[in-house]
Amino acid sequence: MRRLHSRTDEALAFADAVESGLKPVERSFTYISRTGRRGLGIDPSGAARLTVQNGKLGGYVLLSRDRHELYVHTPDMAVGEASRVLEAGRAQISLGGPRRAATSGVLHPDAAVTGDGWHNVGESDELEQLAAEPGPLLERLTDGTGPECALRAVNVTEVLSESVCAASEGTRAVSRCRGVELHATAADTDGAVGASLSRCAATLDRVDAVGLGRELALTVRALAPPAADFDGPEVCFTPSAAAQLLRAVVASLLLNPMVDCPPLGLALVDDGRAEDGPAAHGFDCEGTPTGAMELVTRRGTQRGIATRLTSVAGTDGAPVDRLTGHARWDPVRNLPLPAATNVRLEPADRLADPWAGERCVVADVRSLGVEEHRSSGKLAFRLLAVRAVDGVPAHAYTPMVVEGEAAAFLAAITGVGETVSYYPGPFAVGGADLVMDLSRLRSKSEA
Amino acid sequence: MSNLLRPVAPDTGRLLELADWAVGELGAGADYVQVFAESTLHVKVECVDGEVLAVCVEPRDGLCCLVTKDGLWRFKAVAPSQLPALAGWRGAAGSAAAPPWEPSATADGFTPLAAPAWSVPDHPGSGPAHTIRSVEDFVCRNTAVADTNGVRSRTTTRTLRQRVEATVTVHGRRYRGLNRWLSNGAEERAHPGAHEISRVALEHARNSAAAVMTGRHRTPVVFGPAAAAGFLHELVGHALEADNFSLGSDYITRLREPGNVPAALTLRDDATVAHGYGSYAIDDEGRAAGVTTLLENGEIGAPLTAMRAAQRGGHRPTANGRRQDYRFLAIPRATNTVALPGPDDPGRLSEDPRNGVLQVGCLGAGMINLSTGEFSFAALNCSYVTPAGDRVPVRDVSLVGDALATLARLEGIGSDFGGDNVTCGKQGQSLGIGIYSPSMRYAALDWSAG
Repeated sequence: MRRLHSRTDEALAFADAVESGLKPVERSFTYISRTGRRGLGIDPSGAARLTVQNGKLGGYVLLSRDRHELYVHTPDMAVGEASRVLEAGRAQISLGGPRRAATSGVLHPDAAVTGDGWHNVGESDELEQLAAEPGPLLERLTDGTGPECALRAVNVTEVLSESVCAASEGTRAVSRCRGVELHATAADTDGAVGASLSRCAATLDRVDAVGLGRELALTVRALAPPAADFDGPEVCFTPSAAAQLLRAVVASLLLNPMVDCPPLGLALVDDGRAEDGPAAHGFDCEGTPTGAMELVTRRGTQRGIATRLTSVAGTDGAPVDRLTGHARWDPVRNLPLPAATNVRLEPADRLADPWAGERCVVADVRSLGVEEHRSSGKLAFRLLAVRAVDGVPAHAYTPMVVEGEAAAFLAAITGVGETVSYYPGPFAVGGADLVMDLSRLRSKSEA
Repeated sequence: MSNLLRPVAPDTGRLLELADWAVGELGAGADYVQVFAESTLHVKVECVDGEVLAVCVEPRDGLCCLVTKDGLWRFKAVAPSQLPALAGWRGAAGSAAAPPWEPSATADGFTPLAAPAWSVPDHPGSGPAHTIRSVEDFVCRNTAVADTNGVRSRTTTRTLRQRVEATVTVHGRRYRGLNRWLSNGAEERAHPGAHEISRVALEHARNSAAAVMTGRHRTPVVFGPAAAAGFLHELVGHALEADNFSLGSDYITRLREPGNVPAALTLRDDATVAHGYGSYAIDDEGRAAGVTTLLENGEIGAPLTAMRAAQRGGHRPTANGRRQDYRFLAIPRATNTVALPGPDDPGRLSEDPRNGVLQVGCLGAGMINLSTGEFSFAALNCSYVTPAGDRVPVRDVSLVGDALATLARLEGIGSDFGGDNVTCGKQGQSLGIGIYSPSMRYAALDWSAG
């Protein structure tokens, strides 16, 4: 089977080519990342097909001269393009922003990322083993879906996410994050309603396939035509739905920091090196070492984060006086932006068995309007939910709409289970079984 | 104010030579070859509170090659450093050496405004403290297209888009307002001044901060000029893009049935609008731009096509093949969505003595499910006109509903007219489009406010 090979040598060669083309008065900082995928598609009969996507090298060169600096980005970060990148930067350097002392030629030293670099786990041959014997995985998934829901397709993807950064003063750093994504599609028995869900972890043996199957069955039923309204206060969220909610909440907190929030029964943790996190890396896109911190504490206080260019203040409004490892290169904004890395909820006490008894289980959370385009920190979601008894789906409820500020959603959470998966995206979000008291939100209504 | 984009002579001859060369290399044994060559320079200047935050330069140079043989389409994006490798792809001839690639796009003629020009000073009594973030996006896009059917086209577009986000902070909470201005460099266009663009954004932010109306409502809704076209672009325009149209979903099937679209509404896709964000002389497949009727006399018109979608669906070709850049295939996309003015007094549209009216100034992001017609959108710059006629600001509005049911509730088309520039995403490609329309009133829509 074809394997995913590291391309950090190519990325470092590009950085070398940039640096060798610099004039004496110029400095550069280069950040390049790339994500490669090796996927094994398995149909219900066990037949498997391999696909490999090597991924493109993307990132930026920060070119500095005199008092100016600017970012140069190009779709093709290949050695042969290095001179074009420099020419494009030089032509506009006079427009550049002020050169910032915080990183003037400094790649923050961290022994964990230099030398051989940082990595979460080593290379594995799980995909080869799975291709030879897919039966056990399919059986676990089918155990979860139950007889009322048919498994249609399974895809297991090995993901290799790499990044390098290089300063013209000579420092180099490398980071590699390996992981596996288990993606499954299922439909109800007559094929009218289908759903696709996934779970991620550092290795396949850390993914709960039975749990994914059970979640698929709940989601398929939640997407069916509703049979009743739900008017109780307490709902459970599946891990995927909880992650959808948490993603919007964290994105909102970075735009609209929490002003007032009561003490919480949980903390919101951001962990840049979470072993199972798809966004795990040894450093951010500015070369700052990553780490773990409580973005929101149990006291209901938000902590600030900072990049070279900007910062997000915490609840106290005080400026953040150090770089925190939260810069993410945004290829649309063409800037390093403050962002979360791998976030998860850490409760004081873990939820024991959220599925016991009769429950309203939310299986899908849709944001009503994109948070970035809202004029304040108010969030609105449409929830698709299902009535379940001991985790077995019965019928769909009428969709519900809930609204509130990010802090209100965090305060409404009354129980959190183990984080069963991180879900990739602009930042990775941990999904866990979650219980919420809707009566604590400002409004709840049926769509 | 003078034009901010000084005219510059385009330089696209070399690009066409490159496209011709690649067609020659790939043509042997192929049924059809199309090559799109691009040299683009994007300069972005972002300022915060009167100081430059960051400047980014993005050169995008490359070819997109599309080859058909025995009914199979293949495509390859080729960066300049990869040109020699083209010889090994799809049995290319490799007979002629690749011509040298010289980037032709420049920022000549573009001078960003001084950062302090975007500031709006705080005066005592002028309201809460604020910040102003401005972004100037200058894009010089040189393209050329050649194919084995004899198409040989080249064009240059130079676009300057300025956006401002104002944020006011009240008791620690942040409220935002947006504003933007665009020139495509085709002809002189008066500039309102950076201060004025910022001032309007700040006014929107202050209105958001002052809003007190919350909860869920069902009232008549009036979309202002341009916002009405944005709404129709989402509800109808995407459905009439040939690739979506061919899906034949329940929603699109019902949209095609007689009587399901308002007879009073005339909607067009017009790539020739002066200063339109989606305007161009030729599309990204070399076809001359034109106008396509989307809705008229209660019936839908022809779908918007790119070459492959037209062939697959048997549709009349329209010049709507667009791509984000050379790394992508051209797909059917809107250019400028234009709704024609109607007979109604726009001032009267916002009157309703029973329920009041929600007035939407700008449609934010959202989505429509083209399978079912369900939609949800954020709306910005909103106000609620009470039954007594008083206007109160409303923030964080979400609009939800069913597209066909909503279209059936169109009950007024204003005699006014206005335009705006927005970005639109589809299949991972983000493009600029123009939206132009009068005000429009829908009898009842469900909305919520924060």
